[in-house]
Amino acid sequence: MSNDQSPFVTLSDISKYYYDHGEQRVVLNKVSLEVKRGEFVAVLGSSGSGKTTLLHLIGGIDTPDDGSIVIDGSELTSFNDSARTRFRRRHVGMIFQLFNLIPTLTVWENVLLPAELEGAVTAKLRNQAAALLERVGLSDRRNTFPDRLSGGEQQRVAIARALAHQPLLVLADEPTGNLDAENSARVLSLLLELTREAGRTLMMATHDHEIARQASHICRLHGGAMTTQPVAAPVP
Amino acid sequence: MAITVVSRLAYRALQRRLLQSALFLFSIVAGVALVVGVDVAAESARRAFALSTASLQGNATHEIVGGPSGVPTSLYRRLRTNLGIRTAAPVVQSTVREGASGLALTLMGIDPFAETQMRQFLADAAVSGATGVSGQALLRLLAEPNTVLVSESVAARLGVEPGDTFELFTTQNRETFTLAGTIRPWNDLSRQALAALVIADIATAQEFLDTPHVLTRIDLILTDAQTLLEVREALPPGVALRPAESNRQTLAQLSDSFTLNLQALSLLALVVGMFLIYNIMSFSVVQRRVQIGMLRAIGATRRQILASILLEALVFGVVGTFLGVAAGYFLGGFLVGAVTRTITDLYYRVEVQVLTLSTFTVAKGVATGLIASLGAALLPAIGATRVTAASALRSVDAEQTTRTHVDLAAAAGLVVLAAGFGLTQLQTRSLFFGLGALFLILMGCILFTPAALLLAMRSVQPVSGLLFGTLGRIAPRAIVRSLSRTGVAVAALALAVSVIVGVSVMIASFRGTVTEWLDGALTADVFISAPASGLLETINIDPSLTTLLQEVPGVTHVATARDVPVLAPDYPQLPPVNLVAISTNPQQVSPSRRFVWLAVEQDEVWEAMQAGAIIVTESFAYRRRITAEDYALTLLTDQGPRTFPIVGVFYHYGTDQGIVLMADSVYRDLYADPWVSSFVLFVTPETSSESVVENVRRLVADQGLVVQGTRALRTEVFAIFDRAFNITAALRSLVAIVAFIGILSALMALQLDQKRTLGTMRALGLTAGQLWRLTFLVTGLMGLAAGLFALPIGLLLAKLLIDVINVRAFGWTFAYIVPAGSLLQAVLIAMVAALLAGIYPAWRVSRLAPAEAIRNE
Repeated sequence: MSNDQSPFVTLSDISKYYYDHGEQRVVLNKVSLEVKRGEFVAVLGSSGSGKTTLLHLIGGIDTPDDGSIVIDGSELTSFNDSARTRFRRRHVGMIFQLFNLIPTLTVWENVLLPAELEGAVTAKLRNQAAALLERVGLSDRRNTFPDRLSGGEQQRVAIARALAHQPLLVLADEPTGNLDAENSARVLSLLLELTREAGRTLMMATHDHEIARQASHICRLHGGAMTTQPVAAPVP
Repeated sequence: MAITVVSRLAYRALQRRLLQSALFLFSIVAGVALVVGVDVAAESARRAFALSTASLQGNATHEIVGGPSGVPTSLYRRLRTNLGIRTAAPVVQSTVREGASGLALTLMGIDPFAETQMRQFLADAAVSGATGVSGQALLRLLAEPNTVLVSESVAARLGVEPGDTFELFTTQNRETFTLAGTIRPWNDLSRQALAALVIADIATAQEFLDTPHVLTRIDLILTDAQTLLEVREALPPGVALRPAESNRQTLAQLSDSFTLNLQALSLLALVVGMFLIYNIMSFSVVQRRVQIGMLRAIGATRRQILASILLEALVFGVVGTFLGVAAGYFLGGFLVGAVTRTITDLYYRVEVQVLTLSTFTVAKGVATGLIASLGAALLPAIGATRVTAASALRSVDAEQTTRTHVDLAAAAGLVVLAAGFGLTQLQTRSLFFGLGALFLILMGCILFTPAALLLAMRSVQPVSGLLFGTLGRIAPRAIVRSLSRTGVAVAALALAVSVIVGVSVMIASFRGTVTEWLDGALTADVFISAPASGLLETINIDPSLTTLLQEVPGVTHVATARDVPVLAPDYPQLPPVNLVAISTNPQQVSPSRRFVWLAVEQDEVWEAMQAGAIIVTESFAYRRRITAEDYALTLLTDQGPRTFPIVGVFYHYGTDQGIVLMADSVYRDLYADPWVSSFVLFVTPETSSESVVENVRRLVADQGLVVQGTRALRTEVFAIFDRAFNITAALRSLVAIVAFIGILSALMALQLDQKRTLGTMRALGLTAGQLWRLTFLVTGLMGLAAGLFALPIGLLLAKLLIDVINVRAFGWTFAYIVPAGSLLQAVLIAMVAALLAGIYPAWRVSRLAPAEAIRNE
């Protein structure tokens, strides 16, 4: 484990290309970034700028064509698919714009899913999960299936699912992109509150500059390149 | 036109779903090919038989036939001289075998002078002989003794050329013949007629067959009623005049039940194929739901949506039907061998020279293909018209509507089941109605499948959850969630497996019954007969052999049987009766013979038979509606028609045409027939039947007789039995293959359907291995459900096959025997099929890039 001062997430010269009918499209071009433990990093950029791709690479659900990704001392890019998957379910929590709850599982089963897949459901973890559901205000809906929930409720379940197995890193891909203003605010404050309390590192892709202002660092993606600035600086 | 735009969209959608399109095509091609293939095989055999019978009859309008004693040659002379009939041709016909190969051939003895108007293919035949080509070659048969003609193909099979000699033999005689020439067939008709024909002068044939002064028949061309009347009056007792056409029809119908059953099974494959098409079409509609909603939003009418979906199905239907008919023709080529073998085993000797693809078969194939594709696509197409812009764009779960369909399907199932059971209660013997009832009952059961699947998956969930954790909870729910696809796939698989169960139980029951019957019937030790050559051939063996057989060491008793076709004037529409005259009390030969009913005590049967009564088999009685209340049968004897009381109906599974047993002494009194057809020997307990078999074989070495012990005969009976069910078993497997493709396509659909969910799970930490496990859990559960559902349906199907179909088709009843092993096997087949079908989808899913799956959300 690294200490608090050393970078928790390190991206070194990572590049990602897509091929469309044989034509190469550069999504990320030699992007480097260092994120410290407990930081909240907002990734800003227009649609198609590579925000989602960046989060997917850090989460290990996609692999870069070049460069390396090191998370908490583990070089993700040297792992095979199986090792990346195991790393992800132990150490990463993911939140998606479209909630992506598993429709065939209840709220409670969704929350426990990463731990269940790991085979690591303990009484302590159940208590933590129950407490999280309580915090997101859905403890009375634990046996409900996702299609019976509103968008805001679904995203709150997704937050509980992302945090229940105590991940080191939470990746949120436009978590409020599909919600109305009221729900957006509630979901965002919950997410920030819960990650801060537990000292988790949060990386969030967003269009919303207001949200980005609450981050410790902002990364801007444009034309495959990334620039980083601390939040102290005004965001135009 | 807007429809063009909608169709273009459908075309593009198809381009993106090549595998689904291929499966759609496959289901139509496979279904149509099976229907056409079975038809081609059955029709070719039937046509070959009809053609050879028709061409051998030539232009004859009528024929004079006799019983076992044949038609006296003197009658022919009287017809020509006294009645002045010039259009009459005498025929002697019998099955003979070639010396070296043992090949069965039809020896036809003719009068070349009488043939000019009767058989065009003989009169016009260009014959290549040792002296060149001659149109008068038939006359050469008269000039040289022991000469014969065969077709070029028969000569090639025998490896002889004009001028060569070859040997022919019957059970009495063995003779060397010279090939006078070969006939070149010039069309299909003559090719079929000459397929296994040896033509000789009538005197040569009579001498060789040891039947001097006796004809097999006299063919006549009679056009005026007066002459017809005169001929009828000139007939001696024991011979009958009948239209040539009716004879052809009654003979050809011998194998009708057999082929109708095959056709029904091939239709079943098409029904399974329809499930497949329904599945693929409904998935295609679900996939395009949002697109359809958008189209509706911008002004596409319901009718345009309906037309575009149906047009898509029609295009596939046309292409698939075309390919299916072509494939069916080739499949027919493969099936025809098995079909003709069984027809030859059970009914009559037939060789197919040309495959027949009749207009009717093509029309049937086209109609079934198009109706199946459009019919199966209709529901999904109607479903597509119900998609509204609002609901599609609101992302309302399309599966919610499926739930109501489940209830509707179950309700429809009840109605269909009731209709099916109602049909079985109709007072009819129609096999067509019987098969219709069977289809309805099967369909009724299958319509319940989605509801049963829903219930089963809800019940299994706690158990699978306990056993397999989260994956165990997800799997049954995933099945329920995609019920529109999984329900149909499980129904198709359940249908196929129930056919496997039903047919297996039916075959096992039949086999068990036949085994029991054979155990009772084969109590003699040695059996002597001529090689099997169908129901219509009469085997003549010299009865003096009895004395020789009695002298074989260890033989205690020799019984003879005379097996001949005899006309029953009361049943002109049915083939001739198989009359078996036996020399020994049947209870001695088969002490445990079981009777359906007896009018006398069992130990008085032989006494009654010796006094002139007869006993008949169950299928014989069924076909002629003989009951305990209506128990007499009139047969044409040499002394004219004679009515015999029937004192019993017994179970017998040797031939579905049935037989009549008569005491030999009664038979000999009524027919001037010296021959016997077979012998059974009883040996002392201390003698081994093998040694008797060896001794008898030496004794009859040059007569071409088959000498068998009980075990060998039993083996032969079961070999014929198994061959008869070979095609059934093959079709059963094809039904299973179609169902396998069905479940494969459903799983592919399911996988596409759940791409996002699976991608999310991968993102949340589901490993590739866990994904494989999940896929196999889903497929295994579907297979298990299909297998379990198939058991009661299959058992019901077997019951119907045994109690309704077999009785109506063959007149047989047999015990209902359920082999537990085959039930277990059926469940395993379903599971293995489902698991195998899961491999490809699982492999594809495991390669699913989660990033891409989520991005495509």
